[in-house]
Amino acid sequence: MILNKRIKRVLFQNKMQYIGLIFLVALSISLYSIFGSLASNFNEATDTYNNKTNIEDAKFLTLKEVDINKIEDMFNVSLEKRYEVDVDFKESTIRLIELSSEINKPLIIEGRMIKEGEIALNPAYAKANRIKIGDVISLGGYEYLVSGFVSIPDYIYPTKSLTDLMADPTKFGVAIVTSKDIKKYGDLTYFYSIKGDISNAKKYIDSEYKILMWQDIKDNLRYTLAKKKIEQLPQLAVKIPLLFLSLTFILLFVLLKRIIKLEIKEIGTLYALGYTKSEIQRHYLFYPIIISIFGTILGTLFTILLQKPLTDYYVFYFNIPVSPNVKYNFLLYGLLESVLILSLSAYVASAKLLKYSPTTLLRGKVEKDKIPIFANINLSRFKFKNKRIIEGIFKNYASYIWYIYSINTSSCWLCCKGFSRRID
Amino acid sequence: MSIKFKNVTKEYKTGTNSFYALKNVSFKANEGEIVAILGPSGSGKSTLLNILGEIDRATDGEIMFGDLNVSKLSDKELTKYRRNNVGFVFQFYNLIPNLTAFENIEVAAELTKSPLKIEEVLEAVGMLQNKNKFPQQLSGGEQQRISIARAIIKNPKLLLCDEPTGALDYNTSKEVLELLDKINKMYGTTIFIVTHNTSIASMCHRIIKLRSGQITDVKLNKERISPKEVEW
Ligand SMILES: Nc1ncnc2c1ncn2[C@@H]1O[C@H](COP(=O)(O)OP(=O)(O)OP(=O)(O)O)[C@@H](O)[C@H]1O
Ligand SMILES: [Mg+2]
Repeated sequence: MILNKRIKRVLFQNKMQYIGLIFLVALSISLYSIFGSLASNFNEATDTYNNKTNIEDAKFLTLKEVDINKIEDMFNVSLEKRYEVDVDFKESTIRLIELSSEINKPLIIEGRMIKEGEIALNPAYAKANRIKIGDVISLGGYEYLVSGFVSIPDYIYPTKSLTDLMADPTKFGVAIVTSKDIKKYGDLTYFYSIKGDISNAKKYIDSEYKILMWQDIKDNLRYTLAKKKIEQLPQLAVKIPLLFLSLTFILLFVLLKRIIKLEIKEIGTLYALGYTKSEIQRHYLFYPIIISIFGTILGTLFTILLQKPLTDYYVFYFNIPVSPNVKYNFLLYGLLESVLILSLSAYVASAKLLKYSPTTLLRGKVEKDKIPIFANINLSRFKFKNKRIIEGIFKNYASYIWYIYSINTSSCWLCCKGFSRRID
Repeated sequence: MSIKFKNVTKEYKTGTNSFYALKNVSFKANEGEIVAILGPSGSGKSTLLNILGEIDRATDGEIMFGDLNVSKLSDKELTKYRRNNVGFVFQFYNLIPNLTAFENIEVAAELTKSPLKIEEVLEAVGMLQNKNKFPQQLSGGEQQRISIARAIIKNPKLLLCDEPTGALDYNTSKEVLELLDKINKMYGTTIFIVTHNTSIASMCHRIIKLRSGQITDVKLNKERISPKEVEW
């Protein structure tokens, strides 16, 4: 269609308007895909994390020393004893944990695994206390080289006591050292970690050794709090940007409708020339498609730029290694959704106009003058000019309310998001 | 193509009142004629022309284009008919902004299987040198010439002009009228011209007078003069 030659020119003439629309689409698509990828990466990461670390099913403490080999032989379980000790570092406490070999294997997030005389800390604590890899720190009279940052599966969310709800990385951190190093300290405590078919084993252990403390992993807040937050992420990741996306599209719907409405005369002319409704609509569908495509391209760029920093932010917070990969299917969904919804809005907007006869359209005005709902309000107190403004506002009350509502909602949403992040 | 209106009525309903923009309008026009529709403002001239051009529907009555009863056609069929047979010239030209003069004509040419040559038509309306200009860069008279070119590019059997000189000065108006006369001669197009201006009627073959939605007079113009001689 020759008519489509004007698309480029129209876009150029109304650059700012269309750039704004493209930007809005880009923003919501990138938000959607960043959070979507993040959630999906997190899910994969937790799966591999649980596999790699071989996380315990429960930890316990008994009155008498447990015969590990005997229980492992009798039941289908693995059992490991792990020492730990709290030491002071400046104003804070570090819990040194013995490097385990079977259950609750720590995962290095940055740097490398410890050797004798070396230590690896949880990254949030290290950051809060300005400890870097390669530093040498002294703990209870022994010096350690910091070899890396680590995630300990039963301490993903490192709280000091089992019942604490909030982790405070400035005050408390966890770290791993070798068995040999930890045994240098007095005052060692220990727990047994157990994994496998635990219910029968538990009964037997209680009768033989007398259980003092037993905690299933699902009751371990250090694990479940993190797990809950991770599980919330996909919901947050998909629902909120989806909401944002829908909001953007509703806004675009209104804007596109306005743009098309400005072309009533042209539509009427084309109609009078003999163009069919579907031909005219096809022309107007180009605008949303172009907006969608450029929006998605820009959105992809945003996503690629922001995926890594955002992932790093969350990784730091959750203490689990997560890949910063962009999942391109989210961008594809975004594109499809954008094309679909924007095309629909262009379609609806043009269909609404094409209902009218060409003569009506050629007059350049389809709406009957609205009778202001507040026509009865006595405006005589106001000056003429002000009166016109007030009347104008009430005439277009629906669209004003809509604009105010949508601007409010989207800005509120952005603010809340920012605030809640800061609080976390 | 000959045209026949039989008891054509256009009724507008506003609430419980109804208003007749046209009431029982009947007339005939022969193929190749230039027909003037005269009448005061609000008499229903545009309404008549729009119904003739199938961009508006009559409430009642019968419209024949040759042997074809167009009042019986569906909306789709009407669009198709309009697309091939009717050209429109509007008072305010209604060129599509953002398209050059040439492209504006192309837009209409695209609609028919055997359009005239765009260059030839541009030549005929004397606008060949302006073909790459955008409407905003053309004067009113020039825009109206392009608009006429756009209307005749599909070589329509029927050319409808609503106040084609309404927005133009005397000299430009006369040029446009000459152009319409030339097209009528060149292509044998039946042309309807809506106007307030009684002088314009003197260059037409047939004159239809309207008042308050009703025809007061239809007459053949025996002393037809050339548009050059039209004075007002
Ligand atoms: N959509 C409509 N609803 C109600 N009345 C209408 C509508 N369109 C036209 N009319 C009325 O029909 C009558 C005829 O209108 P029309 O436009 O045909 O007049 P006209 O002869 O072309 O006038 P002018 O010379 O001013 O262009 C007018 O009184 C007008 O108010
Ligand atoms: Mg009129």
